[in-house]
Amino acid sequence: MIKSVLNNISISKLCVSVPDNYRSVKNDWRNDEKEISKIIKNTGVQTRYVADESLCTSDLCFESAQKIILSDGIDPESIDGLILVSQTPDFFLPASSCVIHGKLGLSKSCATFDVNLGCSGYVYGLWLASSLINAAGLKKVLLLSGDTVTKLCMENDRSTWPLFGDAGTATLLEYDESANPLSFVLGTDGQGAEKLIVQNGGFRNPGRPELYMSGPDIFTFTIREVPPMVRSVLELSGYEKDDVDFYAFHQANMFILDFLSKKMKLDKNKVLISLDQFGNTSSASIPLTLVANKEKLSTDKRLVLCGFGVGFSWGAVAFEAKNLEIHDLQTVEGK
Amino acid sequence: MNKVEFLNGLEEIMELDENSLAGTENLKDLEVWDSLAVLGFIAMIDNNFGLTLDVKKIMDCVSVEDLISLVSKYLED
Repeated sequence: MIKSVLNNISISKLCVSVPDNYRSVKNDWRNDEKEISKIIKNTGVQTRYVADESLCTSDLCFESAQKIILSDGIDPESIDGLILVSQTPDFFLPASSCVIHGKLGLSKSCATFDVNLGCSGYVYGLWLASSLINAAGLKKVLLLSGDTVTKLCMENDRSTWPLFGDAGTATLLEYDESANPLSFVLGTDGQGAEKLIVQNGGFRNPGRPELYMSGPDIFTFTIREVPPMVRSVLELSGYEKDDVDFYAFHQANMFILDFLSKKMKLDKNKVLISLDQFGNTSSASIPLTLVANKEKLSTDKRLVLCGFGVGFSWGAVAFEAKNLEIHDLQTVEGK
Repeated sequence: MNKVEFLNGLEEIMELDENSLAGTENLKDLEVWDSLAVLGFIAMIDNNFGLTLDVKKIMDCVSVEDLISLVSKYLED
C-alpha cells in the first residue's frame, strides 16, 4: 500500500450539485409494496437524483466549481490546476476537464486533466491535487469529481437501477503553510477489474454501455481491503480510532456500510451517511456525504475519508479539517 | 458455531422459518438464495470464523450441504 503524508495543503472549499430530477423508490415501484420494502432493505436507498439526457457529469461539476469561484470571490486566473475524476465523461476526447476549463474561463497556464476512477476516485483526486501543490509548486487546484452512473443502468435491472444516483462536486485545495498534514494510503488490485465493469462502448467491445457488478466479489474485496486500509491510515496519521470525529466512506450500499462499521467497531454516530437520500454516486459519494452532513462539520473536525470499489481500487485520507467551507447542496435543472 | 447454528444462520439470512432447513436442499430450489443472501452468507462466515470465502467456491455449491462443507472443519460438534 502506498503511504504518503503531504504538508502545506488546505482543503478549503467544497460544493456539490445534483440534478433536479428527484426519484424515490416508492414512486418508481408504485403499488408494489413488497418490492419497495425489499429494495429499501437491500440497498438502504430511499431517494436519489437522476440526470436526464441533457445533463452530463461535466455540467454538474461545472455548476459546483462556478459556485465556489463566484460566491467565494476566487480569481479564475489564480487556479493553476484542474482535475476531473469521472468515469462518465462527455466525450472520448477531448478530456471533459478541458471542456470545463473553457466554460469556467480559467487561465491558459492551468494544468488540466481527467482521471478515470470511480469509488476510490475522490481520495485519489485529493492525493493528486495535493501532490501537485506539494511537489510541483501549484497554489490552487480545483478537484472535480462526479458521475452520472444512472446512464449506465437499465431501468429493469433491480440490482443497479434503484442503487445509483448522480452528482458532480468541486473541492478547492490551496497552498497553506498553516494547514494540518494530510495522511494518505492507496492501493489497487487489478485482478478484480472484471467484477465491476462496463464491458461495451469502448474499443474492446463496441455496443451499448451497461453496468455489470458482482456484489459478492465486491463485498469480499471490501472485507479484505478496507479494514486494513483504515488501520493503516490511522497509524500513519497518529490518530487512534476514537480520535477521529467522523468517518466518510464511499456509499456503496447500506449492507456494506453496516458491516464495515461493525467489523471495525466504529461508533455508529461517527460514520456519516448520505446513501439513503442520494444513492451510490460513485466518485461523488464522499464529498456528497460531507455536504449532506454539513451541520456536523461546522467546526474543525478530524476526518477519515475512505473510498473503495471499481478497479479494484482503494484509498483513504486522514486529516484535521481547518476552516473547511461547505456550501449548501445545489440542484441543477436539465436543459 | 455448530451445524444447527449454521443452519439457523442460513435460515435467518434467507428469512426462512427456524429449523426449516435439513441440509439436503438444492440451492436452486431456494428462491431466496440470491446475491444478497450470498452477501449475508459471506458476512456470517467472516463474523463467526474470521474467514473470507472465495466467491467462486460459494457459487459452485449446489446444495446446502455443500455450503456446510466449505466450513465443516471449523464447525463445533
